[in-house]
Amino acid sequence: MKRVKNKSGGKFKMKTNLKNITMLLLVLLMMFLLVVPIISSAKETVSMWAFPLTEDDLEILFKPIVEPFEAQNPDIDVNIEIIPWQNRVERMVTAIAAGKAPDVAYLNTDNFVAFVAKDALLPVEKYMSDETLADLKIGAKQGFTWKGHLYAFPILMVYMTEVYNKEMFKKAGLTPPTTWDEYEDCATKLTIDKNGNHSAQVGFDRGNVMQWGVADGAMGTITTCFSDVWLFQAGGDYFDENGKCIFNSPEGIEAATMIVKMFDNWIDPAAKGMEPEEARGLIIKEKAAMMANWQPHFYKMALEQNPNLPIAVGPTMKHRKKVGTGSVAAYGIFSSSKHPDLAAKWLNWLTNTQNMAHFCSTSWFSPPRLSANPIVQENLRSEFPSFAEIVEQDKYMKVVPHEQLQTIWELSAAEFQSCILHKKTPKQAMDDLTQAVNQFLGF
Amino acid sequence: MKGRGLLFKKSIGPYLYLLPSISIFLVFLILPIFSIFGISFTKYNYFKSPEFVGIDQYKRLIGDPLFWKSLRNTFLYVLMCVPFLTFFPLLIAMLLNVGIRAKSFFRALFFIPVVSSAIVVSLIWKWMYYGGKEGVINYLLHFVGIEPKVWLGFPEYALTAIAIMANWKSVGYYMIFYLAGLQTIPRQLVEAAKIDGASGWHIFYSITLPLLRPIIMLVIILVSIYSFQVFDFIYVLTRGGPAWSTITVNWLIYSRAFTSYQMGYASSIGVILFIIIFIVSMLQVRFLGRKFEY
Repeated sequence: MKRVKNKSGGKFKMKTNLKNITMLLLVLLMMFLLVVPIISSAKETVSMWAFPLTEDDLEILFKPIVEPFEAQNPDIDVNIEIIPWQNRVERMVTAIAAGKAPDVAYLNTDNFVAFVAKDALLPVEKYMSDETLADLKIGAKQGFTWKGHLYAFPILMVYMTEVYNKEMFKKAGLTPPTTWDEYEDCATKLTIDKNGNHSAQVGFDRGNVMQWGVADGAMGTITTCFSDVWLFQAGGDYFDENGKCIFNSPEGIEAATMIVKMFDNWIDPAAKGMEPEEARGLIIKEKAAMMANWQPHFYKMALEQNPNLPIAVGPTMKHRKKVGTGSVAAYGIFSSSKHPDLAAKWLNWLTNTQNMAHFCSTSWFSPPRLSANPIVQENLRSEFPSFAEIVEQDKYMKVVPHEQLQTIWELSAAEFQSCILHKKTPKQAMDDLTQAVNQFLGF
Repeated sequence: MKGRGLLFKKSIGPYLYLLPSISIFLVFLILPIFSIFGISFTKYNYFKSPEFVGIDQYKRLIGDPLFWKSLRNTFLYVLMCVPFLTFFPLLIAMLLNVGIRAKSFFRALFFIPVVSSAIVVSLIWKWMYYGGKEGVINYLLHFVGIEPKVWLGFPEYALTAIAIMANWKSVGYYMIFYLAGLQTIPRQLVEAAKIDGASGWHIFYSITLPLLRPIIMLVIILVSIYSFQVFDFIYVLTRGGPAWSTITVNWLIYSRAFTSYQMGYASSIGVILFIIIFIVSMLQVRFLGRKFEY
């Protein structure tokens, strides 16, 4: 049989060859794309969620800490995501439920126990040296200890102090209060009407007050902003030794009575519709003389808005106890982490003395480590000399971790609002609050 | 055989085009609704598997004073929104339906709040409701002799203040429904009535209103449904305060689900809300849905 030669045999062969070469190149490209990630993932990644504390956390806060760590640990990549504050707990809960949680996340005293109770957080004391544990302040450990275990690496302390306007105090011939009696005296004399009369003087015009003795806000659901410090200083507490709520103790009622007195006499009535964060504006605008529960970074924010604002840190007051309150922030390791050892290595680095001092000096918070105190105080001396007093006073901090702390705050905010608005007496409000909390907790 | 294939393609084709939308609808709407029903019979905190507890969550709900408080507030809020948003947009629509100058401008003006973000609107109104003399609302009311009030700080005013803001935001939305409805009214009917000597009020009462009945019913149902589900304004303005005076059912669901991590209990509240909205809507359709014909 004669073979029929294809007239276009040459062109056909070239086309076929081109096709084969193209296919081969595509296969090689696909292999390259598959292999490169595998090779590059030989580097372990520690993923971390953080929340903004400065205008550019990645550059200002973390870069000076991450780069040396990665240089010393070339097999570890630290991947930090800055997540917005809003709904941060819901985001973390959703991520955990979906199996997409990072290795490490920023947590606070008021939310970490909820994660512990759901076995979502790892205890971390085994990852810390004895020196580190000894160097941590009591309040810092207290803030993240639950049932005998420490559950995160503390990175900063939010110790809330009394802020006062130096000029207003000087003009009135007063010094910052150290007791409740002194506080009442200062608040009375610093609430001044347009005629210059203070609130205890005859002729005081409550309808034309030019300067209020105290700033605060009754709305919102974060009761650390106004009620905890009074409760603790009165000698009260959230719970008894059995975990039952005891807001209606005599101390709790005394604290509620004090808060009502403040709102009745020395606080702008408009503040009944404000959240404490909004009430800060009264200090910044120099319409109020002092405010309790001023977080450290509020001083930075206030001075940025008004650089000549004559504010200073007031002393921790004593009624029955000399105590203040606040929160601790820490980085915890989620139990879903695939390499908790590496996460702990990173966190030990992040929270060592030098890095913690850099972190706290940049973001204006108190360091949880005793060894970082002098560094932070020195770093901030030129910007805000009074900051050193916050660092000195945070030893008085008391915090009360609990699984349902956020819900308890919600319930207590409503009852405190009821007595501030005179819908209930302080005793009725505290009795109702205690009953509501205990019912919620299942007692 | 070919003809059969073509017929098959013709019958299956439209469904294939609908498949993506239906899938999204099923996954993001129907499935979660049925899931909520199931979760409401469990104790579930996201991290561990749901634990079946029967009707315990519903028993708890019955004994929870906060639930009843939220239900009361929600009904009050609905009562503040439904009448206003049923009739005021109709009035505006009728005014904008006549031959006035710059009609389009006014229509756009009323619609701007509708397209504005609820959060932005809430923040602006929060500033306007500021309780001092400097607050915008207080400043304006001062000219008519009303003393400054802390609108968001007192239980007597807070829920009403939120309802006023919500109504302001929604007027334009329902106005559009009525404008569309007014366009469908046959002009001959109106002209014939005018020739017969009917006054404006007679024309409105005897012709316009009956023919707008389906639109009115739709508006009432939609306003009710949206009002029952109010959340965003509460979240920004008052967080359920002061003293629980603005806590609504939806806010309680959010609080129990995402603050207390009690998804089972939150789901049971969600189921009750669903049933309430369903019953109210059915009653509205039953009593308002009578057909009207000339």
